[in-house]
Amino acid sequence: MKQAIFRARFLLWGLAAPQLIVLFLFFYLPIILAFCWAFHLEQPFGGGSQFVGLANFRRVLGSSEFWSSAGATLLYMVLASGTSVAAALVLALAADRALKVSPLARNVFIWPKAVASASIGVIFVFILNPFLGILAPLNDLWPGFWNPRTNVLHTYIMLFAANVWNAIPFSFIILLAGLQAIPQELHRAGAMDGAGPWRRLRDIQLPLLGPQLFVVIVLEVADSLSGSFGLIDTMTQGGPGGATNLLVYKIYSDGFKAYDLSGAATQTVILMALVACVTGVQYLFLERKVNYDR
Amino acid sequence: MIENTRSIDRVATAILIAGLAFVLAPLAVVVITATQSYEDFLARNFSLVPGTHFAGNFREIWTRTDLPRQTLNSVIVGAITAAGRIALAVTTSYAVVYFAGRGRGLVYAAVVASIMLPLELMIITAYQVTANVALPLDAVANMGGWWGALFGAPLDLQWNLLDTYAGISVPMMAQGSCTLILVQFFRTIPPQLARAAIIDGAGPLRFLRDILLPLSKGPLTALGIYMFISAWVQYMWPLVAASSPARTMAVVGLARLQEDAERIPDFPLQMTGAILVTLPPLILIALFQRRIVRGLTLSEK
Repeated sequence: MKQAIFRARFLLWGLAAPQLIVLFLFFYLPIILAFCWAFHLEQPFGGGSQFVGLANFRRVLGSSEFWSSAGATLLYMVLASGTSVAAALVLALAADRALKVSPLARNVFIWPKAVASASIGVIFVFILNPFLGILAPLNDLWPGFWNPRTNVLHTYIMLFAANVWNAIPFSFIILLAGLQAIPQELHRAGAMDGAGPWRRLRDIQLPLLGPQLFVVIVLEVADSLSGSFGLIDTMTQGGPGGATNLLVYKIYSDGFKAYDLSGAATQTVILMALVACVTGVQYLFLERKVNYDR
Repeated sequence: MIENTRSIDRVATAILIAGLAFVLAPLAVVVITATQSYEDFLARNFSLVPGTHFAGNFREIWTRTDLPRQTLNSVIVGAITAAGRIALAVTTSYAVVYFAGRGRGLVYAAVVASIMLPLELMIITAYQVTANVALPLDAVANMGGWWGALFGAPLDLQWNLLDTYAGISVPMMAQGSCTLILVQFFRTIPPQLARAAIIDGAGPLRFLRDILLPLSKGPLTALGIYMFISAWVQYMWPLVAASSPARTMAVVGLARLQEDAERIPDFPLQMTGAILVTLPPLILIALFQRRIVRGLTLSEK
């Protein structure tokens, strides 16, 4: 790090203190508390707590409901972030070319950022309603053609569509900025050496976009989880048959509806570990391939 | 461009138009449905023919639901959260970039680590902390019972922030992305500026107020708008942190419009509500699109 100019050490801590206090209270303390509760049996409404060792973990890991929820969470994280980053990448590559529609597209593709995940959930659940929505006529022709309330595959298609819609802006902005920072000379040099547009995409654009792609993938994995709650709460409520009961949603219902504080905290610890692992795997395997030199 | 790429340009144009349709079609459906009356809607089901009932729907939202009040709540919480995040990020990034000291790397790492785990993941215990912010003081005071031995009873401070504007907004500030972006920006400012300021006799705080802040006006407004919108669209935390209708935010209120569902939901009314809830941030985005993009991509240069 460069640029350290002032040497007033107490001022350094004084300036950083407000943010550190807020972070301690509402980021680090909730994590510590989750670990505490995971090893205690917490009574709701301040009814006392009792150390129980690994009993909570044994209970949670012994339930098949937990495992299907964890599986769905992992699947959702991978597919939701994958589809939204892929869509944003394709759109960014297209918008990077100087076309007539590019300026309009660059403006409009950022609009979904202004729509909350819960709002787009409310909207999509209406548009894709099997009896009242846009696909209802097809259901009249072929009964059962589209029913996200009973068909798990349809439910997930609906969720991913809403998630992609909502997640385009951030990835699009970052990826497009990365593409535009690639010097034109590289394109020209590549073209002179006989590389066609597809070849240049593979050998120039994508490798040089590495840092941005990496950032976007890492952030999108965490974002897909935090956005999933708004979508699930308004679209599926965890159904059909618990198929979309992701851990984020399960923890909420276990904790706030069933008052199983210890169980919810134990699953919180496991979920945080899962996210940390996925992020760690990305750093280990993806970041190695990223080339930061331009 | 470089060579004749008309066919590729055509493909790219088609992709962009498909993308535009995908983004705009749901919004168009919302607007059209909001103009239909409930009776129209029941009679014709889904239809892309605009009706004439928008004013009626809007009047019903405005007078018979809590959405107007909740929209005001969103404005207040959004403003507090944005201002707070910017203020915290400015002081922290200033400390991290401009001050020598053993702590700066540690401070930076502690802040950046918070980006990886969003508030939604630890909702249960974050709720517990907000229900009693004095929790850590109590815990330290009662560790080993020394407080009770000194004063006769264990310390039991209670400071409940649930259902207050502070309780909704401050936990949403506990996230380091704003600081990350500002640190990158401060590093692009030439260090000679600060050296010159020292020679002219300015102290660290004077330099921050008179030179650094005016210089960062553009990025700070862009970040502020972005953070306002980010707070506006939050759902899970405002849902659990505010239980009274007086503190509920607009997005939560919109999602609850459909809850009394015995009959077929009044979708035209819901879509009218969606317009009210979405329009303020959408206008901000459309107007400040360039600035926001520039503000966000600072870190990517």
